[in-house]
Amino acid sequence: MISLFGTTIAAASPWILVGIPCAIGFLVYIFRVRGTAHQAVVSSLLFLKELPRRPVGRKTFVPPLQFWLELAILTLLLLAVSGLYLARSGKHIAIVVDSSLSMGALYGAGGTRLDQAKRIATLDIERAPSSTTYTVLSSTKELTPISQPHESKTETLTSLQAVQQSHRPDALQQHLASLVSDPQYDAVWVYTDRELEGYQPSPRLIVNNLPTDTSTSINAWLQSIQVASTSGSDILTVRIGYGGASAKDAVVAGECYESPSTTPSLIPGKTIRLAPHEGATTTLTPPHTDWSYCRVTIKLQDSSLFDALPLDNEGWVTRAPSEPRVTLVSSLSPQQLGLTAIRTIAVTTTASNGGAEKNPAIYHRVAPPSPPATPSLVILPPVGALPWGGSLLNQTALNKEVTRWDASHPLLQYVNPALVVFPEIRPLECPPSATPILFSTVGPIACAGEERGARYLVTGFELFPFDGAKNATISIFTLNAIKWLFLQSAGPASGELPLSLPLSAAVTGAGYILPENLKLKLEGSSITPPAPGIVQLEHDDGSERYIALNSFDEHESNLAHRSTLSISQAPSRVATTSGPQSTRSLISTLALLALIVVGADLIRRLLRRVRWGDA
Amino acid sequence: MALDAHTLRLLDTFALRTRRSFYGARQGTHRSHRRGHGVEFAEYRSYELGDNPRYIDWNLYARSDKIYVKRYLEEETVSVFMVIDGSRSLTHPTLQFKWHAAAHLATCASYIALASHDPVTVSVLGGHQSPQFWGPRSFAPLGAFLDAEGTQLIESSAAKVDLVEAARIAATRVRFPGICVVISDFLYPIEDVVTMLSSFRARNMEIHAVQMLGAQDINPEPNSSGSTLVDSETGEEIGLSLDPSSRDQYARQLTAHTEAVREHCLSAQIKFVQAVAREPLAENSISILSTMGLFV
Repeated sequence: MISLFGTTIAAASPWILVGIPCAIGFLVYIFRVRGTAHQAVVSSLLFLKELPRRPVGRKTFVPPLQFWLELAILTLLLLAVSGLYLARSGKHIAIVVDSSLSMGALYGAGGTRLDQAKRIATLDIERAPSSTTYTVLSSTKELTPISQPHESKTETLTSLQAVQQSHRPDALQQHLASLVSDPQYDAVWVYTDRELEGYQPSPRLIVNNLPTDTSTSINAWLQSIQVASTSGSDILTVRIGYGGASAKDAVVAGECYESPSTTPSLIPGKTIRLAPHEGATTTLTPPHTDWSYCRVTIKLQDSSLFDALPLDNEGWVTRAPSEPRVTLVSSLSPQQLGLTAIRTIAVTTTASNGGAEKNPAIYHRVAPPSPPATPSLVILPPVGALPWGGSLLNQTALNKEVTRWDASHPLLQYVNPALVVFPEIRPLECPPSATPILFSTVGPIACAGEERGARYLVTGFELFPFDGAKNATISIFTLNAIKWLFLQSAGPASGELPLSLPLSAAVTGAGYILPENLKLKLEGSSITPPAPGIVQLEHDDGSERYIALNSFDEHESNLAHRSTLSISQAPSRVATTSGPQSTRSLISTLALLALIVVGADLIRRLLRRVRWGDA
Repeated sequence: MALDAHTLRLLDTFALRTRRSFYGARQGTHRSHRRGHGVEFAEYRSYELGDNPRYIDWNLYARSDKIYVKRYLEEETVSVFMVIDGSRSLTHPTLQFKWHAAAHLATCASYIALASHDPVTVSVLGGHQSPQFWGPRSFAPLGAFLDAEGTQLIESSAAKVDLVEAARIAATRVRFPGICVVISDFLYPIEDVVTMLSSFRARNMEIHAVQMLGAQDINPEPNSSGSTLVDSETGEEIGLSLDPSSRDQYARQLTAHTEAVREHCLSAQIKFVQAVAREPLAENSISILSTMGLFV
């Protein structure tokens, strides 16, 4: 192993390198005893044979070009066989910067906790040996690489500044467990506001915990915003969390928009009293009824205090959308099927099978002619039909029980299929994109899956008529199915900012309305929202819908609560050299060089032969 | 092997000159052993029955009362026998320049002989034919024959040629003893050289031996680090380092060998000439022809 300028050259099988001096000796022997590979044809050896055959002395042995070429070939091949590789002699360190929501808290007078973490990381990097290489990672819900692996000190400092504040909670505990056990990294440096429980400083894992005083951290945050309609007017129920040690007053206000082009209507502020470490709930009333979305803010009233985490003082809410329209393809009417009793969807009927291509559809005892692009519920497709590449077995079983089921599937939430005996069951052959969720003695009887961004459910048993509490298990399953298929993107978004938001196939465009400076790109059938706000969805029928994205996380916002993390796995050995990933094998390079030398030798021989021929 | 016009003009100034007289096949320009009806008086001979009375010297009869007939020297052609060493020491691809020089020399000599209507028989030692060419018009076929033989010998990887045996076979093809020009590098043991030349001497021929050496034969390629030397005849290889002292020793041995051949030729009344194959071939050949004394 040879270290030079921060790079180590090592061999996987160093004992093979003994062959290099052997090769030199062998070649010298060959060239001295047998002469050079340069053959000179003479008319006769009559007199030359009588010359004294003195071996060439060591001092006078000037190796010809042929000697060097053959030595180069042998050496390159031996080096290649020995598995020569380049390795970094410096350590490879993972710089993990916690950029979760809580890192946006103000830290002294010098910016946020994230800024302070960057400053500490900068100092650490500057003090480290120059041969050390880094990989900068941003830790939120996901572990995002900010830099390329093995960046130098200068590049790392630049990459460090590119770490952006996130609005998501962190999953540092899981990330650290994987990073510490990753042989790619010789050490993991963590910069976070969370404390590591039972942390024993080790060269393998260095946690730089930002010192925070939880007793003086004051923060009020929005916990949830609910919309309720009562007697023709809407009421926003706002739940507020508070992490201060003393009771304070806070003002909850808001503004509502009818559309992006209209002037917002302000909701008068309401002052509430926040008890120490307790939350409060208040209501706001939008000034008019035709609002589409609202922004709700909270502000501590005492000017001598500042809110340590301003990022969670803002929330967004949209008016609950009207129930989705679902097309029924059936020989029976919605009334006969009991669909009018389900008020979460608006059912329309169509006479033909092919008319339900743009809207979500329920296919009752018929099969769609092609894989649908919209959410679809297919109930008891005809025997022999071929929905989505699958096929119904040509048999019908009667009075069969459910033998097993996938209880973790959301369709089976609150459903106990063991209590049900279906009067009619048709075993299904699930399409490739679906998974069976219910099984009977004759095979799967319900398949749920997703095709081209649209969910679908195929059942081999009858769901209708929907009769509510009379058949509770089937009714719950039906409502679950309707919610899972048709109501997946309806209503306000959850409190946690989703990493990826799936959209229906009818959505043709998506973009942030508020905050206006954010950009959003539609990636296939989903979007990746970077921050809370209001997202406008454009459908192919020209209609528009709004989605409220919030980042309400009690764990991140409650700064008074000491957030800890623990690593169950003990830090592994301290690596002294880089792992296999930090090395670069030179085998192919050496083999290529050997090939080039062989080629050069051949060309040289050919040219010499041509010269002889000319003579 | 074609000769350019300039070379042909130069060759036209040469004429074949023999030191001895030979029986010829046709009437020509060289004195023959045969007595006949030439111009130059040779001798008197007593009249014998059957002699043509035209040749009776009546003056001598008047003085001596004896009948003598006058004999004159006949002038006939002289056979030229071109023997070229076709062994690998001349025809190896790396040494073929020696062959080209030898063939060029043979072509030039043949042209002079053919121009005086002397028959030329070409025999390549190691080849299979010894064609005879007559008259100036057969010069082109002679050149083509040498070209074909040369190409075949150079491109083939024939085994070692037994020169002694090849020379013996070639000598048996001589119909009329005449001039024999042997072109070889004579880099063989002196015994073989003697035996080879003796084959032609046994046919009572006037032999001219031309030792055609290459530049590498005189001054081997300097290689202080040693190289594998391959014998063009046998394929034998030796690794050798030719330092200055070795080169001097080699030069001495070559000179001694050449002198041995020369001494043998001198004792056997063989005209010996040593030549080095050089460019341009025409000048080289004419220079050798001038040195040989065969052509004036």
